[in-house]
Amino acid sequence: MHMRHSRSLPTAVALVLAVWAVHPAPAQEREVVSNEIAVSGDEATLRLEFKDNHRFEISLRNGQVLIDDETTGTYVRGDALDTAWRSLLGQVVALEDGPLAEALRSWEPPEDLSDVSEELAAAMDEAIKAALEPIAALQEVQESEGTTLETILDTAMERSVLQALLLGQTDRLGILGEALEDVTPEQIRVYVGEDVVVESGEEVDATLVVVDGELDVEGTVRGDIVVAGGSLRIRDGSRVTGDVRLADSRLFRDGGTVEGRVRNVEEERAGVEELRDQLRQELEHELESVTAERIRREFERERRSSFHPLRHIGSGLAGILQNLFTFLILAAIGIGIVHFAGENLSVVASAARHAPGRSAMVGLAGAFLALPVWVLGMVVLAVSLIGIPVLVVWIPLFPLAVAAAAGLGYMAVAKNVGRWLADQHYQGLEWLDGRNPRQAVIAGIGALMAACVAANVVQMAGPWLGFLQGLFAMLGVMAGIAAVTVGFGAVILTRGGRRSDLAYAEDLNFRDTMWTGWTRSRDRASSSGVEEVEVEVKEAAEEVEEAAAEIEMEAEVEEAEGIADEPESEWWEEHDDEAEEKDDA
Amino acid sequence: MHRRVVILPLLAASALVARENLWAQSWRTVTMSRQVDEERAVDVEVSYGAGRFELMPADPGVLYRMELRYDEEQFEPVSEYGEGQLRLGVEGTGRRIHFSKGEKLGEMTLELARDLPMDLRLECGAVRAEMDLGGLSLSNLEFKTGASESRLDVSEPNPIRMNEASFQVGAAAFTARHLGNLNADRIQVDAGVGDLKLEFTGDWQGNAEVEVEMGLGTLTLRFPKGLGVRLVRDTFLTSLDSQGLIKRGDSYYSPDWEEADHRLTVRVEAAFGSIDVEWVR
Repeated sequence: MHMRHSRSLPTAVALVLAVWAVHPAPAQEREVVSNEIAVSGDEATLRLEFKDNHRFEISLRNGQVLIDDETTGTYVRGDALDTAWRSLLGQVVALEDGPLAEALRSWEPPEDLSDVSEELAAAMDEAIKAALEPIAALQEVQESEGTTLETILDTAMERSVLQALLLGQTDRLGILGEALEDVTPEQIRVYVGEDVVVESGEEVDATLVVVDGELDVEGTVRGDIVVAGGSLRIRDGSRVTGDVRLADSRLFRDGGTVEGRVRNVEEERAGVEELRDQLRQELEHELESVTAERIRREFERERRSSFHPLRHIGSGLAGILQNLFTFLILAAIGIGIVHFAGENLSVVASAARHAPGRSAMVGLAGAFLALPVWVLGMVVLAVSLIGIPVLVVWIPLFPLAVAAAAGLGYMAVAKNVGRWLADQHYQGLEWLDGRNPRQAVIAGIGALMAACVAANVVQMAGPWLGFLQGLFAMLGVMAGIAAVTVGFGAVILTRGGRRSDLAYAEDLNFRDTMWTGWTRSRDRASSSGVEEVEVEVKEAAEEVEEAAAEIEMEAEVEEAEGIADEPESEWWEEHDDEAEEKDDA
Repeated sequence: MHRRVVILPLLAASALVARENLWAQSWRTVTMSRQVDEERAVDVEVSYGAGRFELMPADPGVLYRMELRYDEEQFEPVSEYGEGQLRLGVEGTGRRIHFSKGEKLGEMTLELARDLPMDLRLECGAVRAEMDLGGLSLSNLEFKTGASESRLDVSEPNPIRMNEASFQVGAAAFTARHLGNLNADRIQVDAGVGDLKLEFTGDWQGNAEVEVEMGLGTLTLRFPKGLGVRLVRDTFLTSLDSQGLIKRGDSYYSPDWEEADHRLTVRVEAAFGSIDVEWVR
């Protein structure tokens, strides 16, 4: 048997690896000068660059296991192999050069892998170990011992040695692994990148493995033949006692005898993969069916339960309780505002009542401008030196101020609504006194929330009045938004209720004070007589007169200074007339 | 020590991405490093668009070590090395970079060789940067940043003399400490709008000149006692709190200017803002 010619480097590499495996070399690592680890949802990659400019890469990417950009198998994202590989990368991410190589070399694939994954993991492990071998040192060993290819191959090599040798051909790694299954490792001759001839009359007692080469059999081979990435020619008169396995190779038979089986591993693997795809498709189909059935059942259950009468009653009651709770909170806030900022509330309510359109427009504009003003304020304060301390206050307080203004506005509108409600003299609401600010605010809040409560009540009736429920709910929301918008605008117009000149006298706070006097007087009248009441009325009327006189005086001053314009004067004249009429009354 | 802190989140991230993408962003973590081979000097160019950037000296024998976490839908890593030129960072893949509310920003941690003389150019966009150049052998330094919050520290002296350190800061808060350790002949700071704090402490090896140009903002100059300081200003509507300095002619001098071992001349051009001088031990 002889070799026709060698394909140089691959053989040398494989040879060296084989020698090293049989005769362990001195511990000298191949120097890693650069490493890269990339991890994402679909990828976990290790790239190494050695001092001799060689590069090595293993990547689990988009379902494929790639060794030096050659696909050697597949994996499923998150499976045991993927997890084990990511775990290894996580362990070595902080290492460089020697420690990195050592950590990679000592990696052992987990034992709980499936058969396919186990083979892939073993291939990856072997590829890493092969890539990290110190080539130069091994070459020295080979030269010093005078080792030749023949002597090595005649040695009874272990299977791991054989695989290490073959790992030099990473592009054929996967298929070679399958081709070498069950091959007896005791007598194997491996040729990588070489053409081999078994001469006529020659008898070879070994399994022949030819990678990336041509094997020409004219004599007898007592063992198996494995050819990967090459060709096998079996001549007339030749004999092979074992199996013939071809991986990515061609077979030319000119007669001859093969006593075992002739297998094309690639075709078999294609068949297996086809079967695997078919199984995967069936599984996916099954999963889809199960999921669809589960969704359908869930939907059906939901549909049935939606017609359960108690469910709607429960939901409606829960909604009513929720609204009741909201009402109580708002009422408490409203009473607080009446108590602590009653005058401001009266001024805002007056502006909202007499100029609702203008207030709404201003409120709408204010709502849109609030955020830009806040940001602009921050910028202006940030760039001005003295403003930087103010910025600390501005950032939290401005949103709070806007929220407070919206709340005050809502309460002002609620007060107006409450007064209006009282004026209607609805049956059952006779007790409601619109001039009592607390009652007015609370009644107004209730009225504004009435539509929401109505929606809950309709909901309790069942699913058949869904449209009506939605309509009420929408009305409730719109009422709330309208109240906040108009009220917010009124707050802006009246500067938070401090510009009482924009309010009508009849709505001003001292009217509320007068009302308070009235009620006190009314309460006392029952016990102490009408005269005291008349005194109270007279005092209150005098307050009005004084206020009107002050306003008139201011108007005259402004007119004298040329500040007041005509329409405003007319407005004040009307106001004066109104005050006089009330005085007469 | 630093590395452990950085790696743990990276590992956590890698463990996460193995299972599910928790956000719409597609996160990718990359760790790459290279050993020093036979280089005698290296030009390093680092660019980073948006996120958190950290720079520190590497362990001996390491040329660079970079840890990235980025959205691979919008960015891609840059790692080029050859003939003494090293280019690192993250670049956008499209014309625009989109950040929605609630989206997380990427991270980049870079370690550079200590003992290899290098020209270092750093270019950051909207970045929150923490940089420690202590112990790096820098012959030139250029740092550009847009809208960012950047903190630079030179915790250990630069073993070689630096020609020039240049800082170009857009609208940002920029703090630099131990600038004396830069061992620079000249330091140039060009700031648009923002808050600048320059601390000239450290181990001064020679005299130096500092030029600061500032548009709008506050400039705080912190000098160590014993350093001869001369402050020359050309300002418009800018206040100066020149505590510890004596005005002579158009300049302000520290009292020990004449007998100081090392002298620092600071020229400030500013339009609007303030200049505060502070002294530290």
